[in-house]
Amino acid sequence: MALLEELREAVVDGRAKVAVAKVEEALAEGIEAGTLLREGLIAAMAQVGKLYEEGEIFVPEMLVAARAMTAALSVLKPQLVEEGVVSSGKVAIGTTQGDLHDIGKNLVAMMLEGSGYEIVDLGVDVPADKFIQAIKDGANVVAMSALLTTTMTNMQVAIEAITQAGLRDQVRIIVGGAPITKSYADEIGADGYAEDASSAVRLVKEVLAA
Amino acid sequence: MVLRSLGADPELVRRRQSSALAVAEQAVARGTPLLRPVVASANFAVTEFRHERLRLGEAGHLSGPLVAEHLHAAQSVTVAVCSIGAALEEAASECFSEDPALSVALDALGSAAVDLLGTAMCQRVDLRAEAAGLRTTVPLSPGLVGWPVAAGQRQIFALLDTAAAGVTLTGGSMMVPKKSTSMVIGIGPDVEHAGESCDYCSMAETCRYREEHVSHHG
Repeated sequence: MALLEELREAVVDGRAKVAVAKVEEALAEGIEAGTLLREGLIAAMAQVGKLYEEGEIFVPEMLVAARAMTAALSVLKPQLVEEGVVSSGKVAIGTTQGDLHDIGKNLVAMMLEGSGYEIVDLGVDVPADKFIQAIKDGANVVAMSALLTTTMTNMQVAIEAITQAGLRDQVRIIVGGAPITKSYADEIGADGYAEDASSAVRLVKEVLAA
Repeated sequence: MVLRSLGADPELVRRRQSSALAVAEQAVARGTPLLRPVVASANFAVTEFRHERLRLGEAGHLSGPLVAEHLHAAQSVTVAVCSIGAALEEAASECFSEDPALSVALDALGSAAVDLLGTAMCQRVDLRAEAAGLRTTVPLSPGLVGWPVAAGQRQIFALLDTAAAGVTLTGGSMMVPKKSTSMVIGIGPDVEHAGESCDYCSMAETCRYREEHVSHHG
């Protein structure tokens, strides 16, 4: 469908106004919001993620595309609610206790939302009990970020607290941030490690399918 | 520098995507007036070195394997905390929901700016030492391998009046404002300038910024 292709191109190229216009045009033509989300926006962001991981584009270009996606999604959201379109999963994301860095966490949240996930952003300096409450409120995935070696240890504290609360089997836990490695993620009992926002999207899909 | 701090090749970005370049330029235009560079620094004579501990008279001490390795021969050390203030990072956080591309570009500008400030500080120390016929070590920052963040930051902050510079340390040893950097440079006729700071970082193998990193090492 030409309109869907034009929407995808607009998002990939970072043309926010065009992306919004295409969404409005498509809705006016009777194309379902769910279709526009899946085959338009999510498909476009998957392509953006692939281009980034292949080194064809860099963070600035990925962000410009994400900006276009966010603009288009804001137009689509009311229709998605009306159509009863459900998300692919609910992700509670936050920067670990003691850490105030938020940009990377916000980036991951944005990319996940653009890929069809419902996001609960817990903010920064998040103690274990907030992650626990988010799981009780329906989060299937907990995503934790840390940017310091002194705060990354609180990821393990949170995972242990989630386990002690009897909730470990109900949730998939992924971690990321500058000092984090896959081996550290394995050591603390996380289900996965993502080195950037783009691979976080792929990881959430993988852990939810597992 | 903003594009490089984002891990991008500016030439490729210029050729491919003018809007990404426009975002970087917008970040520079909007963010530069928000920079509030400040440095708290002091020079301390080394009075004793023993068991990985460098005593700085009554002022305090520095200790750790990395400190011992590089500063054992120092006659004096310059200790510094550099910051660009909180205004830029606050602007970056505030605008994320409205314009994430600009937000991250502002954050990258902040990283580039504090790195430049640290570099300028190091160059100043190097020039003064050179003028006195002395050598300088590679700048050491807490968090490098052999100097744990928590211990190192506490030692540095105990030596300086960082509150006057508007920089504080959280319980988790994080500097606030976030765009701040701390360092120690050894000075003396017998010190060695061994490599560069990146050589002592645990992320040296995977850091995407290393190749283009404008760092505060000589």
